[in-house]
Amino acid sequence: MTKSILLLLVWLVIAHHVANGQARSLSGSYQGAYLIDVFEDLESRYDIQFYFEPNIDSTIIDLKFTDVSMQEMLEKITAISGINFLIKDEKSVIATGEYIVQTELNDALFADFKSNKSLVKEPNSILANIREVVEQDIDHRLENVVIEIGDPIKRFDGPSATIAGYIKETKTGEPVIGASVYIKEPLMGVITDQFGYFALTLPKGRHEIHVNSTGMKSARRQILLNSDGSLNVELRDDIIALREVVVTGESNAIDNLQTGFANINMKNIRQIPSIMGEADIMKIALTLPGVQTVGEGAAGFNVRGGSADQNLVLLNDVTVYNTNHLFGFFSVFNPDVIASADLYKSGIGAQYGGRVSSVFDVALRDGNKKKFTLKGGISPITGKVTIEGPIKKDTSSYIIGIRSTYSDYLLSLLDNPDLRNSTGGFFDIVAKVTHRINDRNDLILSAYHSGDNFRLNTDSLYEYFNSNAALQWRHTFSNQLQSITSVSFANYNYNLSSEQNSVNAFDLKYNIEDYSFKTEFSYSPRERVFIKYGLSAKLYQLQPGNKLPLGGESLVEPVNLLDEKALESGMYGGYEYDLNNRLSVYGGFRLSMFNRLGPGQEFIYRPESPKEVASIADTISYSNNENMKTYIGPELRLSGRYKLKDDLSLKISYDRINQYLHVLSNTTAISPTDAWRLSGPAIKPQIGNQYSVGLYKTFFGTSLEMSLEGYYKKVDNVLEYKDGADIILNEALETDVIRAKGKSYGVEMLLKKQSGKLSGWLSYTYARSLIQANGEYSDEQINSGEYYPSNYDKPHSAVLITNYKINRRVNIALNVNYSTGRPATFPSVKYELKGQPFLQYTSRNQFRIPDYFRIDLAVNFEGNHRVHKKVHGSWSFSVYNLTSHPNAYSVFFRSENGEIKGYRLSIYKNAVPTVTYNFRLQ
Amino acid sequence: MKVVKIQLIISIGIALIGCLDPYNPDISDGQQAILVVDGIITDQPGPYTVKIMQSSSLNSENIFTQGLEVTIEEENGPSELLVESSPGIYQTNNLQGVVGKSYRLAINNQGQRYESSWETIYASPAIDSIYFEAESRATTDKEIDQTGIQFFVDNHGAENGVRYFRYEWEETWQLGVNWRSGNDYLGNDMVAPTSNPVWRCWKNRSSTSINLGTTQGLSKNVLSGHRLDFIPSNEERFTERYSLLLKQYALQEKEYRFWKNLQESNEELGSLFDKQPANVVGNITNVTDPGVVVLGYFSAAGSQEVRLYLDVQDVPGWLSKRPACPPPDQLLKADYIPRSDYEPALIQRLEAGLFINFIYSEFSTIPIGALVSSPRCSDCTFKGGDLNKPDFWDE
Repeated sequence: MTKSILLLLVWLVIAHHVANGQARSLSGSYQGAYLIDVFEDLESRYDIQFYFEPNIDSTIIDLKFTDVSMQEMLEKITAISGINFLIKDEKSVIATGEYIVQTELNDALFADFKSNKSLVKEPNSILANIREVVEQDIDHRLENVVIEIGDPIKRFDGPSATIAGYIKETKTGEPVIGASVYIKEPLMGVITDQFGYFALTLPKGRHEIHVNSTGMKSARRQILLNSDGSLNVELRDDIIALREVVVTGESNAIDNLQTGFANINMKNIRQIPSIMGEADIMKIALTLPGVQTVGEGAAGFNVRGGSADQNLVLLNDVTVYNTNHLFGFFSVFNPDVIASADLYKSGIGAQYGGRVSSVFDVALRDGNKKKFTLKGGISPITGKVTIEGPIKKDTSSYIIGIRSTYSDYLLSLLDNPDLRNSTGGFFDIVAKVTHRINDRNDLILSAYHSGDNFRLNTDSLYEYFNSNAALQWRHTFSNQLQSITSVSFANYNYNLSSEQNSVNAFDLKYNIEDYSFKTEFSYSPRERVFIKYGLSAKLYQLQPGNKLPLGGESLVEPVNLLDEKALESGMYGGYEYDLNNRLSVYGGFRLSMFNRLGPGQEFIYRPESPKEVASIADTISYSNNENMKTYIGPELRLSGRYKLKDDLSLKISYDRINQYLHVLSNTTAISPTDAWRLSGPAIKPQIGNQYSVGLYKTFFGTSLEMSLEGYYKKVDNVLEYKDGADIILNEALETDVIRAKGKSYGVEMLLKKQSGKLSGWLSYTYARSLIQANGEYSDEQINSGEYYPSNYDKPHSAVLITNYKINRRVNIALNVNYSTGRPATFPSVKYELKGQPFLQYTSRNQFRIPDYFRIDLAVNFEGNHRVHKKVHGSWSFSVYNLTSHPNAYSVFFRSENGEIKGYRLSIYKNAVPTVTYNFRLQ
Repeated sequence: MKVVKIQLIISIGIALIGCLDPYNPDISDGQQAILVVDGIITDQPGPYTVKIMQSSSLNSENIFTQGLEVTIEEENGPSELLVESSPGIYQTNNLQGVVGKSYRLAINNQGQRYESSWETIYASPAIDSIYFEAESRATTDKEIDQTGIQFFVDNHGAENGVRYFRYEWEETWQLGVNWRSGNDYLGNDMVAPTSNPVWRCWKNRSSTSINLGTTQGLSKNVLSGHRLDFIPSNEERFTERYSLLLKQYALQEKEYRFWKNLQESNEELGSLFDKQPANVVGNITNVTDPGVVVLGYFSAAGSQEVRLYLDVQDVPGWLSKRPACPPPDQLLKADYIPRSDYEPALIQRLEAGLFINFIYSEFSTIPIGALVSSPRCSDCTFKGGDLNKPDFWDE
C-alpha cells in the first residue's frame, strides 16, 4: 500500500515535468518585501501558483528582474534567500527550502532510490513535501469549486440566508472548537461551539468562506448561497506549522467584540518551559496580562485584582470547585484531554454568571472518530494514559484520560522533615463520549473524577475529591435557531483526619454538590444579528463541616454543622448586532436569583452591638426547603466595538455580576481546609461592576498584534476575616468575617508576534487591587478603615514569552517573568510574655516581599516531519528559573527559642532542569 | 491502526524546594512604645509577680517600666499594692489567691489608668502523671535523625471543670566532670580532702515558649499524652540527674484563645498556607484613653505543680555522654621529673588554675605524684553551673 502511493507520487511529479520547459517572461521589483508577499504578487500578475511551508514567510528580500524566465527568476530568489525551488509544471512552484531537488532524482527514485541516496540529504522529506503538494492539490480543488448551497428557486426570497455545519479535523474527525468561520467582504463571522458547530447568516450570493483555527491549516470554500443550507469543512492538522502560537486574543482581536479575552490552545503548548515536564493550561494562563498568582505553588489564580474564588472555572460547562492537585503545583486539567481554554476577564456574556472576576472555560477534546489511539506518558511524578476511538465510525467517539502520581519524588526533595516524611498524590480520570444522532441532534456525555491525598508525617491525612458529570444535547431547529440543553452534577469534598494522638483522633468532612439544568438558545434571525437567551437553575447542597471521633479510644465529641441548601437561578438574553463593518454592539441582561433554603438557623444579633456570639439575641429556625433569604440580582452586560481603521479598533464593555458562593480564607494562598460557603441571611452576595476599555491594533498584516486595555472594577460585600478568626467548624461565620469593599484598576499591554522565526508575546500590566473594611465597630475595621492592598496586589508585572525557530527541527524558548512582590504584613514591634518574645502587627499588608524575577529556557528538537514514519520523537531540554533567583514565596517572622527570627521561604531556590523525550509509535 | 504515544521525562539536578533563608527586611521602627503587662495570680501561695515592660524594636533588648503604681484588687474584697522588687518586676506580699474569687489588675501611671477585666480563679485538676518516651525525629538533614526523650502529661478533670490548660516548667539538672579533683595541696607533700569540691554543679532553665493543652471538643475531660518538652540526646541537660517542675494553670476559654492566637501569629508560620499574622488583644485596657493599645494579659488561674526526677540510668538505651576530655597529664616524683623539680612544677600548675589528683603507691600515704587536668575537665563551674545544691534537690 505505502509503496504504491510512493510510486504514484513519483509518477505525478514526472508527469508534471514532461509538460514543463516553456520559457516565460516575468518582471518585478521588490524592496524589503516579505517573500510571501512577492509570491502573492507574482500569483496575482501571472498564472503561477506557489507552494511553500509557512516557516519561510518571515524572509525579507530585495529583488529586481525584468523579462526573465521562471527558472532565472527563481535562481535569483535562491541566491538571495537560500531557498530552493522545484518547478512542478509551468504553473506551480514548490519551495523546497534547503533541499535541492534535481530532476534526475526522480528517475533514480523510479529505478531504485537506494543507490542514489547521496544525491540529496533526505529524499524522504521531499516525498513528504510532494505528498503535501498532492494534498494541497485536493484542497486547492475543494477551495476553488463553487458549492451551491440551498435551493436555487428560493434565491430571491429575502436578502439573506444561513449556512450551518460542522468544522472537523480531517484525520481524527474531531470537531474543531473555537474555529473562526467568516467572509472577508464585508467582514462577518462566527466561532464554532463545543460541538464544532457554526451557523452564519450572510447576504445571498457568491462568497468566499474562510475557516481558521490555531494549529490547523486554514481553508476556504467558494459558495453560492441561495437559501439556508449546510456546509461542513474539514481542516488539516498543520503538522509542520509553526507551533508557537499558543495564546490568541481570538482569531482576530481587531474584529471580535470581546475585551479582556484570551484563548489558550492546548495543541501548541509545548513551547512554554514547564516544571517536571507537565504542560499546564493554568500555568499558561498566568503568563497573560491581568492574571496573577500569590506565589509559585500557590493554588488558584487572581484575575484583575480579584480573589481566587471569584473565578468561574468550568470543565465542559460544569463548575470545578477545586482546581488544584498537590496543593497547587499542578492543575486538575490533564493536558492530554484538553482542547482549549477561554479566559474572559471582562466583556463576560450574559450566559455566564456567578463569579465576579473571570470565567475560565476549559473544553475537553473529542475522541478520535476514525481510529483507535492509545497514548501514554511518564514523568518523575505522574504517569498518564489516554485512549480514544470511534464507537461508531464518524458518528460517535469516546476519549478517556487517566493520570496518576506514582512517586513522592517531589516531596522527597524537601528540607522540612515533616514534609519530607509525608506522602502525597493525586489521580484524575476524564471521559467524554460524543454522539451524532443525526444532522439536527448531537449529544455529549462528559465526566470527571479526581482525588488528592496528602499524609503529613504519617499521622494526619488530608484527602479531597472533585467529581462532575454533564449531559449536553444540541438541537438544531433550523439554521437560524439552535439550542443546547444540559443537565449536570458537580461535587467537591474533603476529608481531614488525624491520628497523632488516639484520644484526640478525629475525622473532619466537608462536602459541596450542585445539580444544575441549563438550556440556551442561539438565534440569528438575519445577517449580523446574533441572539442568545436561556435559563439556568442550580441546586446547591453543602455540608460545611462534620467532625467525628476516629477509632475506639477517641474522646472527640462529634460536631455537625447544619447542612446548607440554596437554589441559584438565572434568566438571560444577549443581543449582538454588527451595525456595519465598523460598529458592533452587544447588550446582555441576566437576572440572577438566589434562594437560601432551609433547614437552617438565622442568628439575630442585638442591635447596637457588634456581631459576636455573645450578642446573639435570638435564633430563627427554618424547616426543610423553607425560603430563608432571597437575593435578586439584575446584571447588565454591555460591549461595543468600533473599528477606527481596518487594523485599529476600540472596544468598551461594562459587566455587572453577582456572586453567591464564597471561599472564606485567612491564609494568603488557597489552603486545603478552605471551604465554599453560601450566601444567606447574614452573608450578602458579592456584587462586581467592571468598566473596561481597549485599543487593538495589528501591524504588518496581522503578524504583529498589540492591545492596550484598561479597567476599573468595584466589588461590594467582599469577605475579609477578623484578626484571629476561626473559619473551620464555625457555626456563626458572620461573627468572624467583615464585609469589605474591593477596588481594582489597571492597564494591560500586550504585544504579540504570531508568525515568523521569532514569535511570542510581551505583556506589561500595571494593576492595583485594594480593599476597604470600614465597619461600624472597631473589630470590623482593618487598617483604621482605610483602603489597603489586597494579598495579590502586584502593581507592576511583565512577562516576555519568546520562541525562536532556528530551523524546522530546532527551536529555543526563552521566557522572562517579573512582578512586584506581593503585600505582606510585617511586625512593627516586639514584646515579651512568659519569657517568650512576641510580635505586634500594626497594620495589614503594608509591606511587600521582594520582587519576583524568573527566566526559563527551553530547547526543543523535533524529529523529522515525515508523515509516515514509524517513530516520531522529540527532545526538550528546559530549565526553570535559569538564574537560580531565590524568589520569595513568603517572608515571615517567627518566635523561636526565645528569639525573633526573620525568614524568606522560597519554593524553587535553584534552577530546575528537565529533559523530556516524547515519542509516538505508529 | 494503533498509535502509541509515549512520553518520557527525566529531571536532572536537584530542586531545592521549600527553602528557608534568614531574611531581615528593613522595618522602619519609630513606633510608639506600647505598655506590656505580664501578670498572674494563682491559688498557690504567693508572692505573685507582675512584669511591666515596653514594646521594643525587633532587635533591641526589653525595656522594663519602673515606678508604676500596681495593685491587684479582689472583687468585693481588699486590694494590695505591689512592691517593685527589681526594675519592672512588681510583687505581692500577703495576697493569697482563692478559688472562686475574682481579681483585677490596676496600674496608675502619670494620670493614665490601666485595668484588666475581672478574672476568676477556677480550680485546676491534679496532674495525673508526667512520663517520657524515647523518640527519634527527622531533621533538615536527611541522613541524620535526632534522638531524645519526649515528656508527656496526663490529667483528668470534672465534666464541668476547666478544659483549657497552660503549662510552664522549670528544669534543673546536675552536671558532673570527667576528672574529679578531690584534694587540696597544703605544701610539702601535705594533702587534705578538698574543702571546695567543684565536681558537681546544677543548672536550671525555665520554659521559654507557650505550651497549651485543651480537652475542649472531647466527650470526656481527659487530657492524654499532651506533649511537653523534648530533650535531644546530645544536650548536657540530661547527662546525670534531671528534675522537671511542671506547673499547670487552668485557664478560661478567653485566655486560652489569647495564647493560641499568639502562637498562631508567632510560631506557626512558614508553610504554604500561612495564616495572616494578626494582632492579639489581651484583657487590659487603658480606661483613661480607651483608644490606646495595651498588650499582655493578667491571668487568674488555678494551679498545680508536680516535680519529677530522672536519672540517666532510668532511660533505657540513653546515649547521652559527657563531652570527651583528654586524659590527665601525669606528674610523677620518681619518674622523669627529678624530685627537686616536682613540687615547683606542681605549684606552678595549681597556680595556673589546673586541677590535680594525687597518686599514691600501695606502700605509702605520701603521694608519689599527681594527675593534672584542665578546668574544662574538672571544674563544673566551667560549664556555667552553680556549685550550690538547690534547696529542693532530692538525691
